Amino acid sequence: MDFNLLLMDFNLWDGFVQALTLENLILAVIGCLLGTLIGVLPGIGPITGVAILFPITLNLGLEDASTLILLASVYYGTQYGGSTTSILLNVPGEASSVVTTIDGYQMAKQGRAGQALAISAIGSFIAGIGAVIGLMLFGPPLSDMATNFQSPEKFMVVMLAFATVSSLAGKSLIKGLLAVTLGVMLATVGNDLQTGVVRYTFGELKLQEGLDFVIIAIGLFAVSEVLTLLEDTVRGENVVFEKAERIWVSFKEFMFSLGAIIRGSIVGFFIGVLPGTGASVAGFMSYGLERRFSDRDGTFGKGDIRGVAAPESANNAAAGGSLVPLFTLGIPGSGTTAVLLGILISMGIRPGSGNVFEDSPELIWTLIASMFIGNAILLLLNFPLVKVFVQILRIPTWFLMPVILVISYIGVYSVNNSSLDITIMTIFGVLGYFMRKMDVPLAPILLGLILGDDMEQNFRRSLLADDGNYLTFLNGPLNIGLAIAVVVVLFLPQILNKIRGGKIKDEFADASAEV
Amino acid sequence: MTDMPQGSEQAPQSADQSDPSPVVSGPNRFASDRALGILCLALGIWYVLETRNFVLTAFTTGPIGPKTLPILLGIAFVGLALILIFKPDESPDWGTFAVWSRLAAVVTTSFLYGQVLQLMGFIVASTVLSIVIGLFFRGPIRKLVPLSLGFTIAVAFVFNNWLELRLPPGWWGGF
Amino acid sequence: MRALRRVFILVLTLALVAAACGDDDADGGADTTAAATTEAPAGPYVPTSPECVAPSDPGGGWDFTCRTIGGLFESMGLTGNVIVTNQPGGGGGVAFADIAANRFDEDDLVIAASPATAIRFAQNRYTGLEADQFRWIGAIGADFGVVAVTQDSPFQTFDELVAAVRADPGATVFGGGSPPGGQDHFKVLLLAVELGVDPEAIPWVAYDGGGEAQNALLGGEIEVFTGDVSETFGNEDLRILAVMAEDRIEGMDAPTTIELGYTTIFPIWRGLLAPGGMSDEAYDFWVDALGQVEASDEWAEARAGNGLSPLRLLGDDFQAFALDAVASFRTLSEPFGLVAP
Repeated sequence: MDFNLLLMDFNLWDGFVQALTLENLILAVIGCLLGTLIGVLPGIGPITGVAILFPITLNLGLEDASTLILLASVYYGTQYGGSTTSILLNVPGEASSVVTTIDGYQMAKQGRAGQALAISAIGSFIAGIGAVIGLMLFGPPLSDMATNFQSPEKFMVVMLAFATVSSLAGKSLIKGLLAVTLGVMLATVGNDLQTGVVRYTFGELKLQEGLDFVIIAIGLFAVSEVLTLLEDTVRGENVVFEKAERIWVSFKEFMFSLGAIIRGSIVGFFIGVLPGTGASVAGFMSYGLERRFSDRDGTFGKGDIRGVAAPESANNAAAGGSLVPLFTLGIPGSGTTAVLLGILISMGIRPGSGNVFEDSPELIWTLIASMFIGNAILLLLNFPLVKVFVQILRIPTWFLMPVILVISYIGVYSVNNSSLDITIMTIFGVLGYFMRKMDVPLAPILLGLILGDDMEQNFRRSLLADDGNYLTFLNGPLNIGLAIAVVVVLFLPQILNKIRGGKIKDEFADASAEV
Repeated sequence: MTDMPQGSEQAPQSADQSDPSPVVSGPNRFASDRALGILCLALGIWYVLETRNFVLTAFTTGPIGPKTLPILLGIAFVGLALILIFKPDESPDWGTFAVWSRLAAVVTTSFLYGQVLQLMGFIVASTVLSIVIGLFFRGPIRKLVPLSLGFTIAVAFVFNNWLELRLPPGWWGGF
Repeated sequence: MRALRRVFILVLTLALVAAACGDDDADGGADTTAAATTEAPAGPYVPTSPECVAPSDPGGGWDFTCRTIGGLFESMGLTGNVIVTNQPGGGGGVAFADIAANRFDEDDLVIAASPATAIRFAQNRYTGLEADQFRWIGAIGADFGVVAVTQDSPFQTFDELVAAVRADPGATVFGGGSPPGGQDHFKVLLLAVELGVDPEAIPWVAYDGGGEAQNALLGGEIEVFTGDVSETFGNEDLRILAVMAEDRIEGMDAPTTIELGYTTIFPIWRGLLAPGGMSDEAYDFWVDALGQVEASDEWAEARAGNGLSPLRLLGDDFQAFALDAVASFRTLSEPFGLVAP
């Protein structure tokens, strides 16, 4: 394949020229602001945001390039908005920002919300730029990897994800395992894809498509947080957040997080390239890896800035990485790229048919340029926005808690129009409250829920397609490599510790995730 | 027995415990984890038994069917629950009646909110929810009422007019 | 006391503000707002607050139908602003159950539909609801099923594939973006029945959507992918053995099942239906409006952009067609235990 993308007739430079008009810049600012505001609403993530706004942009009669810029800005805005509520209020707006709550919310409680928000924006910016460069350099070679990446490989990646995040187990290994098993059990609710058999729905039609991840996440995190703070209030404990001292990161903090940002970007990009895995796993995996390999003082889970930087970078890099299979194979790797695919198709671009870089260079390079611009504008907007967002924490608890509940309930309700969702959220809120009291970690439940279906379906698909041959999971270099990675991730930290100080750090004893 | 939540999610019966000390002592020290273990044990057994009620179609072939994973998970869950029962951690401080009654009230209000949202409409139901929750957080009613109302109206306006996501109109249609 | 009075005054003020803002985006059933949309074409019925229910999450096919057709209703001046409501769950079952129970008489309400809707009605997945309890408005535009393999597949023609499946039904692995009994698998079911092969003997691997299935095909995990024209159009890595349609698709170098001498076709139409209690005036209005959309240039563009072929099936014709489809899907599903009790 001709691969000198930068020397082609229409390249990134022209994309910038095309994108950087005054009108487009204004659209990008509007898109970022609008996206941030929408993303702040729980339950309304990038997919819904872009899907809702796309028809509205059609009515504006914009040029294709302008529409792409507006939507790319909205996309980044919603993603950033989701992280904002994770950090400030412990309300994960979407799957990919769940893991951000762990350290981000602790930072907010300690009066470091500004730093958390800022590093999230900076990390996203660096990762976004990195992903675009990765897309240009490695796009076509990686697309071959995507086709080699089939059900057995996907199953092995799920195993790798479980291995990397075992450090989320919290104080008690047994309770961590109970939590992750419960998560996978929750994932079995609904229609079984391989057979169409309905499992654990109690005759409730709504449950046939499975438990909605966002609803469970908001219930377990946000609703239970309200209940926990209520208990503290009744006991007369101080539930006021520390006042923010600074609202931006210092150079020292930035340098401290830079390694996490770079590692998060790399992990995120390659996870994003794999079709069907997506941003939520990328965030979890980069957080898990960072915690396993960088957490020498046991500060993760207690407000470590790297615990925000790594997953936030990974999310954004994964979003960029998922464009590789989209552009080269026409395969959407995630819900958002599925929406993007629909938009590109409606503009007459058919990714997957031939080489989009050669066939429709103008729009593709404009899209890539608009991703740069969206990221940059979002970063610039953050200087003023962080100041505004931090003010949210100064709302007195007696009004902030009702606001969190109402927004959580209605954000979810407005998308699905189902009262049952509200009930499920409340049930999981109660469950989450009890689990916190009894030191059962919450994040593994969500991880089991995210990965459970992928694990089961890919396992069964592998066996169905290979006539029941279990060796299919060790077939080929990719699978063997992944199997080795699982072993390394599980045991290398212990070995390293032994070599370093002779003192074996008991992972589960001192990692006390406040989740 | 008296100071564990008995697995019930609202557990008001444990509310009458008179011991306000932070950590429970005596033989009931491990009661919470044991209760959790028993609950998980029951859940695991039910989860496995429920696979007998799956309605299969003609296409349920293949080496691994829709029941395999649930059965394996259920067994693992039961095993973990047994470990928890025999090796429990110490119970947390479950708090006093004051805590329990308020938690129960907030949870009940939230459940009711889901039930009446369609009927009463977003603005009315959410204003009531917001005021009630705010009161439990010791908010002053004079400020709570106008703030809650203003907030829900603002939210309704944004959702209905900007996002075109229609919230239930109910008693006060609004926008 | 003074505080209470202040609150009261505030409530009144806000109510007034709300009423003032409210009347161009009416949805609350307020009678005064009927005037707002009277610029729609003259006739006995004009929708006051038109709404299109997509029984799925935003971003899917039904959502596309609602948002595109709803947008055209509005931009062509046929109705006021069409609100799109997403009501996912149970493959549409949640929305249909809610509408049957609470909104069965509404005139302003339409629902997006496709063969997946008909298949689920046929398999009794919308517990207790039958297709003839609804009024089928029309279908405009259709996608078609395809039988696709990779370029280096041992099957160079559809007949070679047929011969192989006839010789040993269990040897060739099929796959697609739906569970057994769903839309993609139904194509295999229909073809197997026509060929006289036992559908249960043909291995089926289900994926989360056509894109994933296509990737599995390219990676060699499955050998045949039964997807749609819109998913495979122009993909040079794929060889389309047959398009399950009567007429050839422009720009697609592949024979149709009909020209190959088979009778099975699989159109994936995009349409609307309405609650059964809708008045005749309203039904006629929607049929007419949908017909006008179908004839418009804007629709032709949107349709082509999404890889759909032209189709115009309106009113009673569509009602008959849809009920027919449901009946034949049911006949096919029953022997395999796919019809829920």
